[in-house]
This record gives sequence, C-alpha cells and structure tokens, in this order.
Amino acid sequence: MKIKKTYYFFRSANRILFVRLIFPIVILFFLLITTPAFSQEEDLESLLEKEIEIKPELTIATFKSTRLINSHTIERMQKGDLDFRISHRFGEVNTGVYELFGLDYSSSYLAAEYGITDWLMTGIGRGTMQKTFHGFYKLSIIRQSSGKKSVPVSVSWMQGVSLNSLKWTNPERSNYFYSRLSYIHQLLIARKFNQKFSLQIMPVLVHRNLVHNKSDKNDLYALGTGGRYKLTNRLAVTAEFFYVHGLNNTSGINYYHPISIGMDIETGSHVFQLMITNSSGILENHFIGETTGDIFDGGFRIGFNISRVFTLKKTK
Amino acid sequence: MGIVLFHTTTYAQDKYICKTGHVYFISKTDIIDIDADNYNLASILNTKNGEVIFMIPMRGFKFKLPLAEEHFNENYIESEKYPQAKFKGKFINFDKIDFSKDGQQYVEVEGEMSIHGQTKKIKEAGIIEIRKGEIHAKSILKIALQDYGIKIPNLVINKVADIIDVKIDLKYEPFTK
Repeated sequence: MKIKKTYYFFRSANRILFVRLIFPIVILFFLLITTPAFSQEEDLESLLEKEIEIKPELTIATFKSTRLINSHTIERMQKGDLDFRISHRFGEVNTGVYELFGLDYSSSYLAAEYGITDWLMTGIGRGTMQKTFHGFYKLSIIRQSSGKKSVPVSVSWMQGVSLNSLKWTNPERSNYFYSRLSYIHQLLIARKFNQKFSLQIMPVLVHRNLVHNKSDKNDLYALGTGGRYKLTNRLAVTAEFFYVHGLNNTSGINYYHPISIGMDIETGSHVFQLMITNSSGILENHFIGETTGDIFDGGFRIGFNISRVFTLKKTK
Repeated sequence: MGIVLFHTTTYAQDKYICKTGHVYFISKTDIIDIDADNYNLASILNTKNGEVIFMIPMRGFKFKLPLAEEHFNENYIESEKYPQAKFKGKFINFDKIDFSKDGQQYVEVEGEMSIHGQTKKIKEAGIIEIRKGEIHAKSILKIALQDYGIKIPNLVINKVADIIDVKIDLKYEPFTK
C-alpha cells in the first residue's frame, strides 16, 4: 500500500514541485549533515565577512594635481608636502612660422605651495604676465567618502590675491597701491564618479580693483566646469571651460571664455600637464578676465605645468 | 534540523577571531624605503580542523609618505577595484600543533593568497604562541609584485622593490556567537 501511495504522489501534479523544490532542499540538508568540512570552509569566509565592519573611506585622487589645467581642483597638498610648480604657456599657434607657431613667446608662473594640514594648503608664486605676485589658500570643506555615511561630493574653497607689479603706465596720475590688487574667490565642487572619471564645477568671482578701461567691469562672475578621464593609471585626459559673465568687448581688445584641453602624465612624484588653451594667463584674474585667444581663429597655444611634490614632513 | 544546529554550535567554540591584526610591509631599494602599517587585519582560526582565513582592507595601509599612499591605492594595488587582500588556507603541520599548551610553536600554512584580483598558491611559515588562552600569531613573508600582476613603470623601477617584505602580527580571541 505504501509503495502505491508514493507512486500516486509522484504521478500527481505536485511532482514538479517535489523535484524542483523539495528534493534539492532535502539533498542540501544531507550535504550539510554528512560533509561538515565542506560547509565549514564556506562558513569561515562568510563568517569573517559578517564580522568586519566596512569603514567609511575618504575618496582620494579625484584629480592628479591641485590644478586641472588652469583652474584649481578640489585637491590640496597633504600635510607636510611641498609642491614646486612650473607653469608655462607658449604663444598663439596662429602667429605663424616667424614666431615658430608661438614657441618663441612665453608666459610662465613659478610657485611653491604647501600643505599646512590635510585640509588646508597655501601657496605663493610669481607670474611673468603683469609681473604678478600671487598668494592663495585653499580649504577642503567636504570630502567625498564611501561607506555607511557616504558623501557624494568633495567641496573646496579657494581665495587668492594677485599683485600687479608693473611700473605705472601713467606715473603722473595719482596711483594707489591697492589698484595693483585683484581678488579671487572660488568654490570647487567635484565628484569622482569612478576610478577613471571625475567631474568638477567651479563658480568663481574675480574682483579687480583697477581695470584697463572704464567700460570693463571690476567684478567678473564665471561658472566653470571641467573633468578628467583616466586612460591608464598614469595617463589622463582633462578639459575645462569657464563661461565668464560680463566680459567687455567694446574697448578694442576682444576677450573670450577660457577653454582648455589637456593631458596629465604622472611619474612618481612628478605630474606633467600638457595642454592646449586659449589663455596666456595662468592665474585666475588673468585667464578669467583677460583671455584673448579666439579658438575659431587659431588663437590657441600649447603649454605645460610641471608639479614636483617633496615630502618635507613625514606623517606620524 | 536539530543535527545541523548542533554541529554549528560545537564548531563555534573552536573558532578564534582577530579584527585588529597588524600588517607591516616595506619596499626596500637603494634610493628609497617605502613602508606602511595596517591595523585592520581580520582573521578567523579554526583550531578543530586547522583552517584559517585572513582579510586585509587595502585602504587600511597608512604610509609615512602621503603621496606613496595615494600611488599605492591608485596606481599599484587599485584598491577601489580590489578593496581587500585575502588568504584562505590550512595548517600543514596541524596534527603537531597543540592549542591548549602554553608556549611557542612552529607552524606552516598553505593556501591561496589573493591580492590585486590575482590568486596564487603559497606556503608560509610562522610562529604561534599560546598565552593564557589567547593565541598570538606571527609571520614574515615575501610578496613578489609580479605574482599578483602589479606592474612597476620603468620610470620608477629603481624606487619600488620587486619583492616586498611583509610582517604580520595578530592576537586571537575566542569567537563567541
């Protein structure tokens, strides 16, 4: 009778359910009981995985350097690190063979920048354009992080001041020291989307105490965006663009929105940044307010930044 | 069901855990020594069958040179892609180890090491010391970067060693759960 009953059970519609669901479960139970060693090995790993808490980690290396191309990035020097920077821009390519396509011209900027803490850096430098002395600080306000309380973006704040040290063009006019100064206030917001791609938005306000012409504005507002894409671990392509509100083109000189594309090459403690850009200025008050290259008329130039980081103070 | 539950509970008493083990490594070259400490080594040891597992979060390595830490994570170990190193293995001389006896004992471990997404069979030696019911373990090993697909670019080839010296040091506590 018993056999017959089982037979009927298998003939019923429940057979499929039995074979697909109940039977594997029964087998699994037998496996668990008869081969403890097998289940044990699986256990140890998953057991440990359950025990480990995943710590929130700050996102690192959103960009390779403290500069994207011309613009600052959210990155700062770490505590005790000194960055020695050489930035160089050649002349416009459309100057032809006589100027060797711009290579005869040079605009450069030398700087020493230092990480006071892991969230505050400062730097000083000197640029050939308008014989400018420049100083700035950059504060890391929010760091992107992963983990339980993840933060989607990094935010930094940069403020700088530039001093034009050219001799006055009209010495007989009453000239004031503060007329030489320009101020830069910039908010930097960036997100590292993945290992390769990072994007940054950087609104900036440049205030110039003295402008070339009456019709030029003292305050310039600009909204910039830029990003990088890593081709390999040590090679990345970069791009940035600023839309500058209030550029004045009525006084004879035409000013343009700065646009640049570049390439980052990292070799140990050096970062080489090669770029094509339409600005000869390297500082914010120059490239935001005084970019003269018309990219549609060959008004772009090549340039490079070299960053060499020295660790002056080891952590710990 | 009853049998299954019974099995797991008995095993639990033979397991020892460590969540704050220490890993130290150094890359020695004529030009520069680069070293890092990590205090987040996690491990479970089963004294009943000699199985052992290690997990090391790569971001837990703290360097004295901040830039080296960034390069380690970004360029060499790619910690975003491969967040941890793992070792899964067994004591070879398990029958000779007495976990109830105080004092030092020589141990040999064999198993699979995974670093940078690549797995390799390894065999290493170490010391186990039993002190008042606690199990202390120590080992010194060498890791060849090439074995785990970690490439050093030509430009820095004389600044990073091909073979990294690694020291591990941990203290197990009875695993209760």
